[in-house]
Amino acid sequence: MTRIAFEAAVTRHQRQVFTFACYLLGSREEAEDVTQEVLVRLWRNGRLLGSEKLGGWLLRVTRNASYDRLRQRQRSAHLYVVDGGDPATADPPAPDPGPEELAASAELGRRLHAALDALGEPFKSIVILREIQGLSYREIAEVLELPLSTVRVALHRGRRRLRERLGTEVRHACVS
Amino acid sequence: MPVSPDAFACHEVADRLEAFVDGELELDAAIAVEGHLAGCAACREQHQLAVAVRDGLRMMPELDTPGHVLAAVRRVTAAESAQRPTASPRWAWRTAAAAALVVAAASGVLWWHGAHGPQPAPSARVTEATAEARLALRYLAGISRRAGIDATRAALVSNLLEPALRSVGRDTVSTASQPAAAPAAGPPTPRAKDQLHSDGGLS
Repeated sequence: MTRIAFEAAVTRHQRQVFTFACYLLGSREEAEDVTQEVLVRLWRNGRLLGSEKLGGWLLRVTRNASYDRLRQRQRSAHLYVVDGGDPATADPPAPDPGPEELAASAELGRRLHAALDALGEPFKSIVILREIQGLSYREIAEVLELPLSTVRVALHRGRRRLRERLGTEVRHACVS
Repeated sequence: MPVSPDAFACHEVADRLEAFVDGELELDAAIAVEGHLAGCAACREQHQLAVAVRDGLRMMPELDTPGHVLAAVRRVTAAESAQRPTASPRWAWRTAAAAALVVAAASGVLWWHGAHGPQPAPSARVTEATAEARLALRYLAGISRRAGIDATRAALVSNLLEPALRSVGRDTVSTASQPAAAPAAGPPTPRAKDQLHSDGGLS
């Protein structure tokens, strides 16, 4: 890949790669490592890809590299991340703001981040790509190599799990 | 089948809330969900939460890669670039030489037919040889690109194609607009001759 083509590709795709890695990993520091790894791989392999396939390839590589990191993290920290998380082991919610105050965006953002972090695959990737990064269903289907209908259903299920987790936290807070 | 406004129980509404929030339910089902929400406070609360989740996710920012990460990428890729040989890999030159032989062989066929009688229209063999030469040139250009050789079309034409055409007395690319000169009556180049079978075919 020529230097000019590489720089153009980095300019075009770096934000997408870093954003995806950040939300998948929940760690900015690890996302920086993954992003560097992915962009170097772009340099080494980008000439083999057409420009129209580059974006999808980069997101796939980012996802795989991020999950490699997560597996390493789990092995070293003996953490067990399950789909939907376990409310019993999650950080306890902040003192009850009440359902009506949950809508306050800062508090919601914090809880939503935590809930997203605990979401399993493929829901997590699909929710991030669709709701945060604005990809279309078709683009997500190409990146994750899933049927279009699966993407749509998985998006709604992923958001439902987030809703249910947030709702559970509110109920726990109300009871305590 | 039309859905009645009272059709859904709470759990059925819960199954459809995200699609409803996204406007992706069919009209009948959407009306049924709306009807249920109007009469069920618990489901209305869930609907609010579903909207809050979607909107909260969409407010999460996209993030730019920090400058020090991009700088590290540039350092690594520049170091790898510097380690690559400035001369093309040997395999690229071998392939280029092989492609040049094919071009020369095709030119030899063109000479053979030019020197052995009038041939106003290209024969099947000449057509085939011309096609093979073009294919070889395209392949050579691809190899050159992958090897990082700055082999422009003009360079390939001037360094390969035109000498080959001149050697068989054919119009070059630059003289194509001028009336064709009579083919040069001379022996073929040794390489082209070596490639010929007695019937003028390619080796």
